[in-house]
Amino acid sequence: MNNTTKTVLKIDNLSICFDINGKKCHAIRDLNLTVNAGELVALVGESGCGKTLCASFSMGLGPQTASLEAGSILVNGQDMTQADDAAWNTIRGKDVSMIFQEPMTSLNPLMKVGRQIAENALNRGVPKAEAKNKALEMIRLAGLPDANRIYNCYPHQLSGGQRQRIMICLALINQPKLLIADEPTTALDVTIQAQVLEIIREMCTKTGTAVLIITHDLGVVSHLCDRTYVMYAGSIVESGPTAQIIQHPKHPYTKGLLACLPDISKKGQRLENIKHSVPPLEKRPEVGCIYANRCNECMDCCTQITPQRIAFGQREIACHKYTLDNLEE
Amino acid sequence: MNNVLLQTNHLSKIYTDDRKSVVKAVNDISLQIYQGETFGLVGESGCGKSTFGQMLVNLLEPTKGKILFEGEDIFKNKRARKEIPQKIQMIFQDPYSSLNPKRKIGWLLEESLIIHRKNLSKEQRAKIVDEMLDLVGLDESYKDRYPSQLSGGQRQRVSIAIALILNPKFVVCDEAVSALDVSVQAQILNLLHDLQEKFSLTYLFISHNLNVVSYMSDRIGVMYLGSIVELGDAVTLSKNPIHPYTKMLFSSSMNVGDADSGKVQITGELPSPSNPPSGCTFHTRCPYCTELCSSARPELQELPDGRQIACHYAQKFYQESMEKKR
Repeated sequence: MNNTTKTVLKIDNLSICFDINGKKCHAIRDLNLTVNAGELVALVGESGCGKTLCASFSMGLGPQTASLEAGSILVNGQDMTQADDAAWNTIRGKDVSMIFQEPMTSLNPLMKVGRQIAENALNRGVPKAEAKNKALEMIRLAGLPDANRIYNCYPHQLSGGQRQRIMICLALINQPKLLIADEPTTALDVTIQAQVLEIIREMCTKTGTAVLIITHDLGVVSHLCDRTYVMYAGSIVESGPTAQIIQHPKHPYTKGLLACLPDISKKGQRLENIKHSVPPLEKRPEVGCIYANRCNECMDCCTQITPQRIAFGQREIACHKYTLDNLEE
Repeated sequence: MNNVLLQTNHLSKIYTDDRKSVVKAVNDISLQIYQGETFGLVGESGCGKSTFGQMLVNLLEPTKGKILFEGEDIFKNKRARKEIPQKIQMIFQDPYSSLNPKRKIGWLLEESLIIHRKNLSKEQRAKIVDEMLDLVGLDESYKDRYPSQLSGGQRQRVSIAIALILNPKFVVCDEAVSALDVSVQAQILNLLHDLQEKFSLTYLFISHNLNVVSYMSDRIGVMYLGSIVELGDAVTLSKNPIHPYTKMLFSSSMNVGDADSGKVQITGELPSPSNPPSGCTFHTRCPYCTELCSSARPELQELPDGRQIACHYAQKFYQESMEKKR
């Protein structure tokens, strides 16, 4: 296998703008992200960072008000940057599929869930009987008991956890190369969350599907993902293997995110926090580090020069604090 | 610290519908909350923790049982009904829907003063509002803004200010930080801590996020289908859970830096509360279930380390965990 077939999603220098009162505002700026076959990759950051926007552009579902300013999106080796709806329709649901945050609203309430799963296979030319069998098998794989009964249920007859499993079946029935999961467990209880994540991991290993999980929960990331991208206000500030990032965070933002997690060992101490909140689109600086106004290690150069990405080992980081020399030490 | 501030006696909330099906949302809960402590209440959604909290602030009327605040029944007479609720306030989960979008922040804060502090002049009220905003970290200019102009964290600060403006003694925080980002969540948790020290507040902290609850609370109660299954000191409980449900709950919480080993298999979902399992309500999901569990309902019993637990095999599990420690 050469490099182009191994990479299922490659986003290069992507910049996306919104037009706000006649002013162009960057929602995503110079973003690079790759997902390789069979990998579990996380995209983490606070809300308003552009995580979901990034995912929807990787599915061709970006809002019409957003304009793609620069960069390219390659899905499964195919350049989809300028693709129209017809081109997207040939790969959506087959090569790349998506699980949404709200299992309550993402299924058709008037259609039995089994048919919704089978429909996805039917659309790809699978014969009717085979599609039904495939759907039943997916339901079993998702750990739902009594597949025949579930097949004939309407969404409102199922619980949130069951619905999210149906969404997973629906997304994976065509064995896509890439699954994008946008906050798949945020709306679920902790006990159900653990089960659903385990199912995503298991089923994707079986079908060989790569997963891009979008989440704000660093706990989920540390237990599930091979690699992590930390995103802040439209840019990737740090990326690399999850274990390294969690144990030795470098970027002040990653450090901040980890430090502000409450847990029993921090009892009685004050939680560290990141001051202010993510700036709205129109207030983001054009030059300099976007994180500078919240950073507690901010230097003079941070507000004047935009930090460049530095690669070391398997990691990349964009921060003025680091140079190649002090990273390798 | 051992003064009981609030006590519930056999508190129940039972819903019935036309077809006479019965849902015991809260089933016979008796507990004490001490002055100055933070009592955490955890459980899956639908286990009745919010119903319990809402009964304490008089938003729901209990079907059975009593709530004693400083030894006085809050439903005793008209005077108690009017005065006690001022000392018990609530912070709601969703700062996007709990503030009136048509009113300015200043008015939202002033409203309860107008109703409950009739002897105050306009200037005095304005002064209290300013002080309160300052306390929660917002400046005076916010008085003239509408909720839609504020971020989630700022709105939650306003909700806190509204809850505290009548100088309550007891505050129910119902999922107060669940809708917020981690960085903002940390800011709000710190704020709640500071305010607790300053006004010697007592909190009932309801959340499904175990990390948050175990960080904030002095004691934790674990609820399952309307009943308390385990109650004890926060550190003991989270380091050494005994009840199989507590174990499952703590295993499922994904903590940064936790090892995956030693975790309990998580199975099943919360059964329908309108048709709860017989005997111990947890027996359908319990890995240690025996015949006894499906027929008899376990009562709360006290273990040597002071925790209360409702499980037939509590003593056995406790012994096992003690031996493991050695």
